[in-house]
Amino acid sequence: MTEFIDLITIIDLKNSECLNSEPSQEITNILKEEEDTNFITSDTDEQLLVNIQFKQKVKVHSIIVRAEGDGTGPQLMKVFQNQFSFGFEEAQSLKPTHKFKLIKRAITEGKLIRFKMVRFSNVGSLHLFFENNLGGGKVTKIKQITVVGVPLETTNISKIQSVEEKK
Amino acid sequence: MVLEACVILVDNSNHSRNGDFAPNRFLSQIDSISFIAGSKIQQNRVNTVGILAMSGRRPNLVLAPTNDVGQVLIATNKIQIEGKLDLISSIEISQLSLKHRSNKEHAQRIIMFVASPLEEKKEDLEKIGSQLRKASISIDIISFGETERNEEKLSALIDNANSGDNCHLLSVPTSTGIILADQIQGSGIFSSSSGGMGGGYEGGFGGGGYAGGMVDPNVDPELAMVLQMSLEEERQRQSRLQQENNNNTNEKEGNEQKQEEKKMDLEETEESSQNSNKNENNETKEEPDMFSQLEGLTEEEQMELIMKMSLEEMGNEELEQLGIPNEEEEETEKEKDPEVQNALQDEDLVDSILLSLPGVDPENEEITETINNIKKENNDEEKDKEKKNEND
Repeated sequence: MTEFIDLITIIDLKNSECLNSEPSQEITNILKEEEDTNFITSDTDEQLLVNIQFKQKVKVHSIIVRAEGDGTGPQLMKVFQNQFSFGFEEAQSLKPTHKFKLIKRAITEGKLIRFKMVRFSNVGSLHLFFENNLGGGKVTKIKQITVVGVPLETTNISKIQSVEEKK
Repeated sequence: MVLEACVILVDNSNHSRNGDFAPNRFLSQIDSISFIAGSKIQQNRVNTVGILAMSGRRPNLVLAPTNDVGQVLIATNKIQIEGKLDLISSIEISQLSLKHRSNKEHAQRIIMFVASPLEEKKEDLEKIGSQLRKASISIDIISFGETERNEEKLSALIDNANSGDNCHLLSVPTSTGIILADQIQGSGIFSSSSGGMGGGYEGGFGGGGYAGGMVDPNVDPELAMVLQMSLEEERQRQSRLQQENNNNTNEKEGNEQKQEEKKMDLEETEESSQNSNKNENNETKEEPDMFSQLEGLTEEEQMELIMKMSLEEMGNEELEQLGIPNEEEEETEKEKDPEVQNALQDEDLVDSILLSLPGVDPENEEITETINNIKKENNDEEKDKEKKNEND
């Protein structure tokens, strides 16, 4: 099988966003290559909605969510895909493709949370709705989100050769 | 220059028939809308404005967000006065409209006019305020006509929706002679979001949102650099100009030349300036350092001043292109105009004029020769005329 990679390079950061985060924070606090001290804090209440747009269609294998173990880490995570203009109203009413109840160990140690790849075989955008947190408090914090998968087959233009060159 | 998608909520309930704001509350809203939409789109051509009528059978999105001011004005004409205000549904519908905006990079904003007594509960308003904050939609409320009754509820809404001072409540009290649009313009809530460009009807001068050089380094460093350079050039011109003003006594001849050169020079300066904004900035009065001189003069005189300054900047080469025809024009004019000829006889005057012409060295041999020649010619002509007169 093909190797799975960190899809950070395929994420379209400009069209990705995090709703209900503190105003000064940016999506790159959690969608980044290396772990650092930046994170996203929820603002009005404890819910967070992360909309991830990909530059091309991908297959999603799994996801890693990193957070602190102090009770601010997210608990219930609902995953949606390929939605347009996804907001909190849709997140509450639509049926998610996947529902996960995260445990403390998974988020502090950065364990892979496996998806059913058959259901995520043609993903243009991924939407993660963190409905509540482990401690039940008003603030949810996330340190990093890593999406693991493989981009779908596309034409590799550099490999196209004219017939004459081959001769 | 913030990218923004805006929906303006109009209170077209029966309470707006009230004439305490002339001509009535509804029409004063329409007035203000044209100002608001104009200034938003002036700040940034990509900004969009939509209109929603809050009252009636149901809230009606009269115009989906567009960046065409004309459409905004046409849409306002379609709104009828009817029914009662339905605030919560109106906000929800505008939320939907903003969510489906075409450019996701636009910040979302709602501008709401309230001119009827609110029947909604305070808790409901607080809830919807939090909802707006969660969806990162900022809201400005213009309350007028029923300000005391609504004050508490609306402040609660704003407090819940506010995150970092992006929401405002403007309460306009009822008193005689107040024009709503003026109050809105004066309050500055629509300039605060744009970084200092208030009342944006300046016809696109200064590239919208430019406020004396302070905004530029953050938004556009290259533009800031170029503007700085042109600022320094202008200062040098200014100092030179002040010297000229002391020397130059006769303006009439200068004017004749300059009016003909004006058009040609205008094109040249605009080409040679590295930034077309510079010239536009010259004409705005937002830079007190450079243009304290200009403020006292009429437009024509301003043009002349600017022409003088641009003339000084041109080197010899450029002057040759213009200089040669100029001198010819000078001579032909001087031949025809007796006043000019007499003036030429005055050496001091000639010297001062020559000083004001850049790139001309008054002690240059060629120039002194030509002047002497001209004098001789004039003298000869006078003698000829005298002879003729005597003969006749």
